[in-house]
Amino acid sequence: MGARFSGRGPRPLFLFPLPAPLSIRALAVALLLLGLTVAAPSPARAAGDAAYRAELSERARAAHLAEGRMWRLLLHDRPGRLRPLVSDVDGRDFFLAPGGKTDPAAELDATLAAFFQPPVDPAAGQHPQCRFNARYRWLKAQLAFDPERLPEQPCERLEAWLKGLNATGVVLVYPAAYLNSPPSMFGHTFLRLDNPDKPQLLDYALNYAALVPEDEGPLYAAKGLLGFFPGRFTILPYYAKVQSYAELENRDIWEYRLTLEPGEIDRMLRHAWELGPTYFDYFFLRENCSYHLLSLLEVARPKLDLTSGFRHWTVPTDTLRGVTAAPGLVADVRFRPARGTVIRHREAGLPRARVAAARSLAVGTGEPVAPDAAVLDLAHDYLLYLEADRSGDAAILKARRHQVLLARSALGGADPSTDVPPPAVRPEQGHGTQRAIAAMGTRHGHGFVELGYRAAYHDLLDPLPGYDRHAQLGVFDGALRYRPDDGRLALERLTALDILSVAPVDGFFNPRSWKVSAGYRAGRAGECVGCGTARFNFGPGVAAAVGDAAVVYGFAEVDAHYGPRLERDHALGPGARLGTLFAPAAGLRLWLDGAVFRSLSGERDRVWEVAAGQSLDLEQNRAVRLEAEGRDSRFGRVWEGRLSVAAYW
Amino acid sequence: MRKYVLTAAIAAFAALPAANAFADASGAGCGVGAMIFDGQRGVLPQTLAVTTNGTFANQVFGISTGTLGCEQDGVVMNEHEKALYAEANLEYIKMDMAQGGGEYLDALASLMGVAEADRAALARLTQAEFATLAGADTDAAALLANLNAALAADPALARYAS
Repeated sequence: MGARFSGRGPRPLFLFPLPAPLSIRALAVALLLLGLTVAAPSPARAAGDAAYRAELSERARAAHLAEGRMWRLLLHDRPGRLRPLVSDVDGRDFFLAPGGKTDPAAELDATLAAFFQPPVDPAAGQHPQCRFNARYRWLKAQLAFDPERLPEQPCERLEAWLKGLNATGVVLVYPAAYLNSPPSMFGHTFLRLDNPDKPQLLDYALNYAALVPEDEGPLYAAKGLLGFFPGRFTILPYYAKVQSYAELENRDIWEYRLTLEPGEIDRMLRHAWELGPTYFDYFFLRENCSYHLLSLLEVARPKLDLTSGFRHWTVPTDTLRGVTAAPGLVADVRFRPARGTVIRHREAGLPRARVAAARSLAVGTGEPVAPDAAVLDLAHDYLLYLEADRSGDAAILKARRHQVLLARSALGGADPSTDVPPPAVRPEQGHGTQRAIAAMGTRHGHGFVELGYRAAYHDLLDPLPGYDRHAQLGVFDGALRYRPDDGRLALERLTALDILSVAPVDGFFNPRSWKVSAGYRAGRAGECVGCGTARFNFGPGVAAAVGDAAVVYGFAEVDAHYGPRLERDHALGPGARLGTLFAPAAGLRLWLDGAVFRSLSGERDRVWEVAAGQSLDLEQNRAVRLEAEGRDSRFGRVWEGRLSVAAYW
Repeated sequence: MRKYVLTAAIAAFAALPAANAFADASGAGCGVGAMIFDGQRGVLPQTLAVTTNGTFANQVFGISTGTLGCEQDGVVMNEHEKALYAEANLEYIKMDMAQGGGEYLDALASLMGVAEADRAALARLTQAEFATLAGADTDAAALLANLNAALAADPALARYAS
């Protein structure tokens, strides 16, 4: 990094070269004279300030502080497209020099100068030493500030804040995906600041997120992708986060306790204090929660390099992989089950009749049951779930829940054991989110080989450990196919987005399955090059579990194609789909799927599509799959079979 | 979208003599507005929320941004912590009381200064007295007041009554 900066630092004010000590003295004299003329009332003090300021600037330059890693971390600088360095911070209030966002040396000079400001009335705001306290403490240590010549200002608000937090430990928290919401596989991360004197629920969460105006319309999802919102660091009691994720949204929470030591935590928090009032433009794909949390962890422990691996996008589970892979950073991992997970666990421990009794209590059809703590506690969980889900009249559900609690309290006795064991595989132990796939096969009498790449995330045939077995999310999945017999090379598929949620209903929990996909695929209007179509397909569905290992599903779909070979360039109409997923053994999956479409606009046709796939995991990041598919349309009947190897990272 | 609205603690406490303990010197209490804990339910809101992590402006506790309501630079002031916690976790505290203990009751006990050694006794008391402590519509202020009365009447725990 040093080489990149040589010659770029701010130069001395002199146009001719002078030996360094002489230049300092000359500068000091010049500034002394300046001080005498400008600040006449207290000449000695102002002169001392100016001379010492100049001296500190010169020493910082000589030590190349502005080019070092710590300064870069404190400013959130990274290599830019147009400039060697640009800060991720977008709030102007974060920079003291006019060009501070792109000029770390000027920012360092301006920061040193600001530290000399006279004391500030606390009611009027913070002194720069307090507002930029991580910078202050680091520069003070590097340059050994003389407190006589650069008096240290009291930072009462900051110290009170640190005392209030009393953080002696830091936990990286990952709420897992929502059930039935494949896009949430991207997940979220935040930090918990552990206070040794308080229970976990009363700790604070340090969170980075886009700040969305309350009245923002549905376009906010798109705006979040494109950097329209400011992202800010905020803190909130941990119980508020537990409630949002585990209770209301039904997301399991994973807690990774880090090995940060008190000095590291102190530095990180003083830096968070610097970031609190400012903002970053929030970009969902890269500059998101996880990216900025990694940069905080780097400030805590500068020798960690966590962010440089994320150039284009930052997937929270990938950052978990980075953090758990960093030597000695994670001490232990805890699991905090969501309400729905607790319910499943309690159900699994009870005979069917008692589960049914709890359900009928919850929905209000129950006969008065024999006193039974397990049934009452399960009924209470159901009611919490229904209330959070707004399934039914809130007042009635609440009154019913209170009756359950009254009955429960009358029984006495402690809660029957509800320790939910954590899943065997943690989120970061699943396959990597990028995938390369190499295939060979035959289609319509031609052999082919194929190479594909998918940016993210998981499909139903990918290795299952660590993922929801009912959720598929593909983002930017493309493949090129080569036919050796006639030398044809063509784009086989380019999928922008592919979401499939197969969420089983069981009479009590009744999620709606859904799917949506958009992309190009070859071979939909004949076998020629250019016979592909762009397709948009979506629809609701319903799924049911069959035993523990299988799920069957059905969808009603709207299917739209665009392609020059189609009548009036398009085909549009309804479709229906049936299929099953079957996992007979760990590491082995089967998928059968069949659909029929009737296009009513443009190309009028009746199309059958069938597909069968089987995959076998070789290890965490390797799998083989065998797939067959057939398609019958006005353009003929085509069969394809292929064998592929997938690698993930 | 599911929103859990916490009304300002003072609003809940205004009707009670205990309110004075939670009001600040100016009498304005800690709520300049509602604190909203956000959660997403339903396929569409959850999907849309993914790109922003779904944080809405009014649930923010700013760091280094001064005093707002009952928090200073994002940290809840000591004198408001118990009231705010009880308000935010009311239904889960009731659950733990009736079921004979749990994490939510434990955190409340810690805010009341109940020693670890006495927490089991507190859990037994709140379970035994649940019907008098909580009704379906008992709010956080009333629950705390009822709890205080129950503590005062219990020889072993009376010293935790305020």
